[in-house]
This record gives sequence, structure tokens and C-alpha cells, in this order.
Amino acid sequence: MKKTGLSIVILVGCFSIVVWLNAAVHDVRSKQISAEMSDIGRVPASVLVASSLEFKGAMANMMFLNASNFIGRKLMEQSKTLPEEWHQFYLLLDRITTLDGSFLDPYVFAEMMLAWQAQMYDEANMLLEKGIKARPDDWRLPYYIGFNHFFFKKDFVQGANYIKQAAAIDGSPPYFPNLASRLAFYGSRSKTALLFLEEMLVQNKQIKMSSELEKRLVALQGAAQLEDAAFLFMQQQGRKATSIDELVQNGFVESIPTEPYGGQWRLHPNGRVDSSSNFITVEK
Amino acid sequence: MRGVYAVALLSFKEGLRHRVLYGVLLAALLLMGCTVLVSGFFLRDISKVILDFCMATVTLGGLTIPFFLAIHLLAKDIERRTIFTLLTRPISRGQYLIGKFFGLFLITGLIMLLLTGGVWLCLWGGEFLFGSRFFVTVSWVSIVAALFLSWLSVLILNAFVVLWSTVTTSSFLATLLTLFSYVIGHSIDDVVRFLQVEVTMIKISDSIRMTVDVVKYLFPNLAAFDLKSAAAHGLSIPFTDVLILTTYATAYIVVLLVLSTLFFNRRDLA
Repeated sequence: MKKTGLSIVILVGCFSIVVWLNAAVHDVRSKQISAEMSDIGRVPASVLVASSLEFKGAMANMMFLNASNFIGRKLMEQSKTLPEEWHQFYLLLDRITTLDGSFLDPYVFAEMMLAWQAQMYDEANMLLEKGIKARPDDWRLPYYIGFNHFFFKKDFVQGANYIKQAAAIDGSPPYFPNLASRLAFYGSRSKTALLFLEEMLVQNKQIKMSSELEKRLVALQGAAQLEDAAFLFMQQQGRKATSIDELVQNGFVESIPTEPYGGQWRLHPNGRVDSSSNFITVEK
Repeated sequence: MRGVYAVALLSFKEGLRHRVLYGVLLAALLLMGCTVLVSGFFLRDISKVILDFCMATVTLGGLTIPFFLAIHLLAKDIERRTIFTLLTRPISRGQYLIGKFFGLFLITGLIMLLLTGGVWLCLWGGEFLFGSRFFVTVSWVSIVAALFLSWLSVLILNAFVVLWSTVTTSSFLATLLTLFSYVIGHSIDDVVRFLQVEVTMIKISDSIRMTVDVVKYLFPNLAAFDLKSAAAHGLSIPFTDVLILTTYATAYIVVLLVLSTLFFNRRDLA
């Protein structure tokens, strides 16, 4: 009985120590996680590939979990991520995608974190380019790069090119051709947008000419016609036209083209023509 | 042939008696179960993550045979002289070795087959938890092909255990040599590819090139048998590739077993 009593006392005592030390052990582990993140980022890709033997996929998964933990920890602690940490994070994603190039999650993570949070657009795009090579049938990757060019880098033409690339991949959303033309339009090149949409319709016979696309095509044709007229006006008159009406009065266009969205055409000093509707149907 | 069959059956039954085998099976199945839960932390590639971990577990389960059980069944048999009880019967040394290999062949096959059932359970569990939209790329043909190739690579290692057990006098040395064979087998192809790339800044001596050229024929290209990643992504594995690798593995195993028999016939066991 005495022995049993002593055993119970020891058991309770030791378990109390375990409970008491729990938080301290957690802190020790936190330091380890932080160190792990940096260390893995610094390991050369070739060494990682060689040391993973036949477990590259599982290794990539574990490293991705490590990257998720790092971001999760930052979000929980609400602490600012330093540029050096973002660089390590980029290296980690780069290593993961070297181990398993077809793994989609690191690319999605690169877009979510590197582009949106860290403003590391070039690094995000580099990883996504790597993904395009490994997953040529995935429309999401060129779409993300297109979006980065359009939204973050204000490079509308490049953006439209990537969206065009995404739209050409089977399974991409049917509104992509329309979106690409819209991006190109905002890139001050109505003609490019028009050509892109026409080419897309010819190349992708499976795209049904919906009324929305038809409307977009008519609008782009109108904008391109007016831009061409404004360009001709400047060449012949030696000065820029001040309004759409001036182009009509001087005979550069026979009549003002229809704006199918219900807005008013606007001629900008740089020769670009857009509409007050922004190509969104105006509710009357 | 009867001698080979008898030793194979005996080794198989002896292997099954080892409790460590059941421990490995249980641990592997538990690991697979955890995989299903961990896969929930990932964004989209849930089926890929489950398959990566589960197929790695199947391979690890298979690898426990050459690294733990085979050494116990073969090297220690020689080391502890228990082999004499078998060799007093009308069984040649060659039949003994081939029989032992087929015993290991059966145990490895059984373990990996049971763990493949675990893969099926995990995929089913994952689909139940996260929905079938994450599992559209799963291809059972590719999974079975990848695991079959993984089994073949483990069989090559089993044949290595047979070889190293016949040329060394200690089971520890046999384990160590098998481990080296495994690491070299998985790295040699990358080394060959590295040497094929002409890097102007780095001068590689002819002797190194020659050594690698010899080693690439001596050690098996085990990395070629690793198609788990392709299977995890649902990519198809060409039948011709499976055929080439099966022929290569069979030929390699035969070479190792013949070499083992030659060494073993000349060995003084006393």
C-alpha cells in the first residue's frame, strides 16, 4: 500500500512538473520553428533534392507546412514581417517548387503572400513562371501573373498578354477573353484589345459569341475608330483634336459610333478614347 | 526447386512471427491516418498531399524489410551459425539464398499490399472530409504502377542484403553496405546528369568521369523507380516505362543473386 501511495505521489508530482513546464517547452519550440524557417531557406536546392532521396513530394509538403506555420505565426503575433524574412520565405517557396514543380499550393501562396503582402511582384512572378513550365495546362498561373502585371505593376499590355495566355487554356473561365480585352483597353490601346478579342474568337471556336462579348466587340470597334480618327486629325491638322465633335465636324468620322453600354465617348489629351460607362452597362 | 520453395516458405513464416513487423504496420497506418488530418492545412492539392505522404509511408514500410527484418533473417542466420541446421538437409547454399530472397519477396509484397489498402482508406477518408472536388485527379492505375515500382526497388535492396550478407562477416556491416547501396542508387543518376552538363567554370577530371561511368553500371538507378510524385499528381505512367524498369530490376536482382551464390559457395562458414 505504501509503495502504491508513493508511486501515486511521484506520478502526480511529475505530471505537475510537465504541466508547469508546458508553456516554457512551447517557447523553446517557437525558437526552433523560427530557426528552422531560416535554415531551410538557406539550404541550396540541389542539396535538398539530393538529400530527399525518394521522398521529394513528402519533403515538399513538410516544407510547405513550415512556410504556412511561419505565416500563421506572424499573423497570430500580428508582428511585422521583415524584408529579410520575406526573402527567406521566397527562398523556401522556391525550394519547395524545385522539389515538386507541379505542387499548386506554393504558387497560390506566392501570389497571396509575396504579391499581396510583401509587394515582391517580380519574385512572385518568377515562381509563377516556374509553375507555368511544370503545369502548362493550368490557366490559374498565367492568370495570376497577368493580374500582377495589371493590378500591381500597371503594365496593362503584359497583363493582357498573360490573361490571353490563360484564356487559351482549356477549362479557363469563359469571361477571360472579355477580361483580357478590357485590360488591354485600359492599357490605352483599344486596337490591341480589339485585335485580341477578335483573335481569341477566331482561335477558340468553342467560345460562344455571347451578347456580352458582342457588345464588348462593338464598343472596342467604336473606341478604336475614334482613336484612329484622332491620330489622323493630328497628322493632318498639326494639332490635337479637343473633342469627339471636332472629329465629326472636320469629317474625320462620318458619325459618332454607337456606345453600346449607354455612356458618352471621351477623347483624352493623350489621344486615348474611353467611355463614361467604363464599358459597364449604364442603368437608365 | 522444392528446396527453394521450402526455404522461402520458412523465411516467410519466420518473418511473420516478428512482432516488429506488426509494430511497423500499425505505426504506418497511424501515420497515414494523421496524413488525412494534416492534409486539411493545405490549400488545394489535398489529394496530392495525402498521396505523397501515404505512398512515402508504403515505401518506408517496405524499406523496413531490407534494413531490419532481412538482416535479422539472413545475416544473423549466418552470424549465429543457425544456418547449419538448414544446410544439413538436402538444400544447396544457392537454394538457401534464393529461398531466403523469395521469402523476403513475399513479406515485402504482403506489407506493401496491406499498406496500399491503407492508401485507399486515406483517400476515402479525405474525400469524405473535404469533398470529392479535391480528388478528381486521383488515378488508381498510376498509384498502383508507382507502388509496384517502389516494391521492385525494395526487392533490389533485398537482393543487396543477400549479397552483402554473403561477403561480410557481420550483420552490422551488411546493414551499412545496404544503406550505402540505397543512397548511391538514389544519387548516382543525378551525379551522371551533373557530369553531362558542360559547365565552363568547373573543370571535372577525367578520372572522376571514369569512376562515375563505372559506378553507374555497378549500382542500380533506384531514383528511376521513384514515380510517386507523378502518381500523386494523377499523371499517367507509361506502360513501356514500367516494362523497362521491371526488366531492369529483374536482371539486376538475378545478377546479385548469382553473385551471392558464387561468393557463398566459396565461403568458409565454420
